[in-house]
Amino acid sequence: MAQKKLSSHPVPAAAETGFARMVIGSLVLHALVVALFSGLLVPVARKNDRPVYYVDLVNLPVERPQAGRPDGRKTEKVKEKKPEAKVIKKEQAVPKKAAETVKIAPKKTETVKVVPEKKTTVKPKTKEVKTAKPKKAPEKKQPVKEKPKTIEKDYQNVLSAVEALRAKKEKAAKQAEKKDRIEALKNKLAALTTQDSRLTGAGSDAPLGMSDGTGDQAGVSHALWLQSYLTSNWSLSKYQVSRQDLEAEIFVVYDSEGNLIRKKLTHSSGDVVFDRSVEDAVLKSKKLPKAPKKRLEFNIVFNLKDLLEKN
Amino acid sequence: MRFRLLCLFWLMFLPLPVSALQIEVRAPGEQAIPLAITEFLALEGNPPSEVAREFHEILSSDLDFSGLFRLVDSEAFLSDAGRVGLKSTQVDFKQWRTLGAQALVKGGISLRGGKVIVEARLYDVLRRRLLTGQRYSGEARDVRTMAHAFADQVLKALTGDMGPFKAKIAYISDQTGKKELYLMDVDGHQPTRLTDHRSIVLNPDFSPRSKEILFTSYRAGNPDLYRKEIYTGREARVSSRKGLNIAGRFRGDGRAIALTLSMDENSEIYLIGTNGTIHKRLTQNWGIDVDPSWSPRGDQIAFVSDRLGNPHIFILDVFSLDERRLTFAGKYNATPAWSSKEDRIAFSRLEGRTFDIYTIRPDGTDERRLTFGPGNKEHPRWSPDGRFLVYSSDESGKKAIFVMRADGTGHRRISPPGANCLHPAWSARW
Repeated sequence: MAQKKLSSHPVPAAAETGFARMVIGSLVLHALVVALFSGLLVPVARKNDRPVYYVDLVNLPVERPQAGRPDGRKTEKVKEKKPEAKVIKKEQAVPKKAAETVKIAPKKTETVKVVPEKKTTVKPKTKEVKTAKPKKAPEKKQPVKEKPKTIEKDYQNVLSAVEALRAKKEKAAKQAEKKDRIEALKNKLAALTTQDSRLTGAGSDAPLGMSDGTGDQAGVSHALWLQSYLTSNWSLSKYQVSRQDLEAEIFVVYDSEGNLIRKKLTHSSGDVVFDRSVEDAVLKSKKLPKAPKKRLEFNIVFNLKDLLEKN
Repeated sequence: MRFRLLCLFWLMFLPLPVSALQIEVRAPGEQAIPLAITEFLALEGNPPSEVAREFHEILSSDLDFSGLFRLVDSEAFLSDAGRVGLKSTQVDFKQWRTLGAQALVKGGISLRGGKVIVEARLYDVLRRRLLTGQRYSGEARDVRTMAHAFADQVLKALTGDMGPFKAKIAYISDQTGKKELYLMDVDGHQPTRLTDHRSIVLNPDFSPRSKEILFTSYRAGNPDLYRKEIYTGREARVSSRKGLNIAGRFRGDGRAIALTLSMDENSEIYLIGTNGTIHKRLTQNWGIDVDPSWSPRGDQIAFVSDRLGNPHIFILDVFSLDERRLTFAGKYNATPAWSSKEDRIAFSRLEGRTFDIYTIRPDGTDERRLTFGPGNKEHPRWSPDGRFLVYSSDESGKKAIFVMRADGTGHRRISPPGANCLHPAWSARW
């Protein structure tokens, strides 16, 4: 039997270069994948390390928060305008009488100086004026009965007495306002002692808004409001966990009506009790008080960093 | 073609653009679980009302002491508190959620053939489901034990670790004029005298496996080590060698005992069997070595030695006999106790003129002082779950037994007044 010769077929040069291209291409692609995951080419989502603000949950979140602070004042400016308007009206009312008494104006200054002296003498008269206040007609009648020369003097006395009373009332009102402001400041100081000591900023006059706010609404963003809402709904005793460096992450979705439609524990802390407590916090927050009018998605990280810092 | 396929392949791993907002919540707003405990209702028969009241009182006290809970005020309870149904479908969870409760305890008591039957349930209010349910049967006088047992179950359901309330505390008291060994509940009730040696009894320690207790007694004129079965009352001398046979401590498996013997004219720590046979001498030093305390794994012992002049705590490897110093601060450190969680060692230290209780990590770091104020606080011992400590204190003039949480909070006196009580030891779950 004739032996068959083994035939060898040399590999064509074209096939070799094709394989080489494949290898090079594969290496390049692998390098690209590494570059992508490392964030060199595509920015990797980083957790925002924002400072924690105390957000009053009474103020509902808004779509377009204005520039301000989350713990700023909401309606103080509006309130301040109202008393000013009243003051203006009063001032407007005064000129009418002033116009009437323009001639007497120089005498007014004289009477002002004499007021302390007059006090001793006016007292009985002021009493009369007080009793006669509701009835102006009889007052007018009195000077008619008296001699005409004293009518003007009595009228001036009445005016000065009324102005003195008005000044007293305004002074009392200002003192009351001052007391209210002091009380408000005291309350704010008391609140500050319980707030995060890292808070610094614009002072007590900042409007309610966000530090990066560009809108026109007094309020905070949905994210910040939800952060405070979740904090208030999160119950966990330090005696339930053995460590304080635990961290879990949950992905949640709210629909446009503010209903929680999806939640998923994306990163477990490794502690069942801790994980359950954060899921409970999300369950308690399953309904937002105000419909956001759009779908909202959040990655929520729960940890105990504030407790660690305090310890 | 192959290149295109490869491109498609790595495109799958492209990170998707992030649209979800990030929120970080850095601490719980409520650092206690709001828990509502209803008064248990009569289910069957005519159980005495004191049974329900006692169960409620003991359960509330135990759970309040645990530090985990904020008890919802019972005056705020709504109609569901008065409903008998115990199935989760019969509970109106909405009412409890309105009150802010996150966990709910409900139950009922029946009387059948002279036996009291207690049905206890723990519910998860948010998820509207039963977390744990237990049925206890016994005499009316057993209600305290039932309540302690259910408190342990509640802790297990919510933390994963069983509670220590259904356990016993042994201690020494001179109520009879002599120092004898006593046993009481974790809340100080039902104190019972165990010995009648009419001498000096000291340093009790519970067996981890059986209802036995080790102690030292001068009954025979010498400090000997005894072993006693608690329910049968049978006693045996384990070690009666010349000199000291003191501070015996069971190893975690209950098969060996570490103690101090001074038969060689110096106090050293030895390892002996439960029949008293010496297995090994563990320390070899001119100083006085006393107060051994086992690590939970049984491979190390913390003990006190004055080899460097002042009493300090050292740690010994039982196998290699290597020793290292644990405490460096203070002039007098004594009575170490290793936690079952293995993470901390409690001890007492003399600061100024009084002893106070400290804890420290086994590697010597993170030392913390737990007690302050007047009085000497000594002989700390851990609860079996490592959550609590029992110790003696003479802050009231006489020595008394106190319990507190592992962080030094919530301390309360449990021993009866009138006599000196000291050397406490906390048993395993009874």
